[in-house]
Amino acid sequence: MPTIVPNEEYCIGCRLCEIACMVEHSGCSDVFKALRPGRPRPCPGTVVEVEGDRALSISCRHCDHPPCVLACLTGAMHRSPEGRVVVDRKRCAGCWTCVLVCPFGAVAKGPDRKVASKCDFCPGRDRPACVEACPNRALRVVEGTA
Amino acid sequence: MKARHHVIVGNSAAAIGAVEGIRSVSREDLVTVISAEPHHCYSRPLIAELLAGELSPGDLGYRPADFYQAQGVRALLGRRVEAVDAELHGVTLEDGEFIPYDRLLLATGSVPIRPDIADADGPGVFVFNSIADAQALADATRGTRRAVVAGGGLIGMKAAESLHRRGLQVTVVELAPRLLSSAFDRAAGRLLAARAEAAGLRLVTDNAVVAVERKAGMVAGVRLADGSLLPADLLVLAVGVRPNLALAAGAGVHVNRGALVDDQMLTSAPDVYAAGDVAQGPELLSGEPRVLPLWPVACRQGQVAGTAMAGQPRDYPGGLAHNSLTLFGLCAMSAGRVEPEPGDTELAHGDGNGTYHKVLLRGDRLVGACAVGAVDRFGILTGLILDGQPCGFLRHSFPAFPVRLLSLPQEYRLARLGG
Repeated sequence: MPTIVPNEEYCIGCRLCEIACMVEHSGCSDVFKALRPGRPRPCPGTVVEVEGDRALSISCRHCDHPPCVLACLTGAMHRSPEGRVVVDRKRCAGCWTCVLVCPFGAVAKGPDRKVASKCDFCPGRDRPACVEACPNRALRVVEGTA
Repeated sequence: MKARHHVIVGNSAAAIGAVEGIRSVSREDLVTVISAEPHHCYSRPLIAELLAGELSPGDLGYRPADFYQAQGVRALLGRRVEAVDAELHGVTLEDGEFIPYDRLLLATGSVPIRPDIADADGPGVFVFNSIADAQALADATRGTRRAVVAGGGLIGMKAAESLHRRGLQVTVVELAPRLLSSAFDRAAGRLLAARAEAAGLRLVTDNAVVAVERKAGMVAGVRLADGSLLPADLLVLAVGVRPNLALAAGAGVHVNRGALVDDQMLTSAPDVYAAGDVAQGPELLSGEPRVLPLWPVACRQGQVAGTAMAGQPRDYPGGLAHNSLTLFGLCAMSAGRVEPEPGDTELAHGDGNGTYHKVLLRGDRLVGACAVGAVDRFGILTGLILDGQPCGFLRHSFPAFPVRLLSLPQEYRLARLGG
């Protein structure tokens, strides 16, 4: 499974990756409409850390041995046939055991705080939206690293 | 190599983890799952939602409905294993059928402890460990108003919350001076208790149910150790669980608190493995054999057992206690040690407003963490405990939460993130 690998030398903490992710998962391609106040805002599947002059964008590693899948109480967190680690929203009970065990902090409580939310590697796209949006090429797709 | 026949007794987290572990190594080996419960594998923790009336039994599936078929597993559900013959390498079912095995996994789980309570046998007294238990309890709540839950641990509090959501007046009676003491420290337990009380639960500590008072056979109240009487229509026993060792002893497996296993989940009996709540295996921080009756630990142990049974053992550093609990909307998490041991450094911080964080360091190593109210990205701490990474930076950065990956040593971070 390919992974999105961040490069902290290049990351400037602009958070365009977060915005691209939210727009991609909003069901609406227009950034202004997608993030309009009052419209439920998707939870970004990537989180940008900034510490002093250093920054880093982190999303799910789609691990070979994902702790979140192993720990999930309900079986909602699973590996898709293509190898992505994904949440079945219908089966997620919001117990947050995935949040408890993900060593990257890459699983979040979703916008409704009821089911888990994470990077789904943008099914249907050649390259994930965050990677395409990064203005400084701090994110790239690398085959089979996790 | 000739295909092996793996027999798995049990059908919960450890059993399913074992099936997946075996199948990650071999598609050819034969796998038979035998379970006294008649259900498709289900998420046991979700029985709380079943009791609350928010899910039905069909919603509890732990794996898709075609799981056994897709994994090539023969599932004998609703069949009880009566005995294990470790010498002959076979198990006998209650109907007399003998099933031979090459490798056996005991994934028999745990059974609720039934404390010594006078007149507890009879209608109106329940345990809370299975779909059947939850359904019986849910049925009994119809037309009743008042419930007492004996035991203020994780299971007792979830049962109490579900009964409350069904509209009952619920009192929790806990023997210890505080609630949730196995998973959370005093401060975290206090916040969770305050939330439960604000929601309407009545909490009684330093006390215990000693007798059931009945009228015409039905529960009318419970008598507590201090002599007081609590009017009640039903009583739930949730004082804890113990390993279900019924088969292990007969199989000649060395038993302490649970079935003793090595780091591959192998017991003292040849070709007999044990995983999950029934097993007593290595604990990560102490190195000591411990029973850790936790769902994720059971699944991992099952997977470790499965790969070993199929002939490709993987390293297993030992289990780690970790819990995520949401009680009346308040989220709490813990990993590793709850309380400091002599020589540990404890850093704790509460904002006085329902948020609390704590870390326990031994030297530079993180050995325990706890969060209430703000739990985002908690797994970074769990990962640091598991990896044994130097965490001296926490002495300066605490109570900043969540901990950032950027705070960790760069070499470690790059190795984990790849690239």
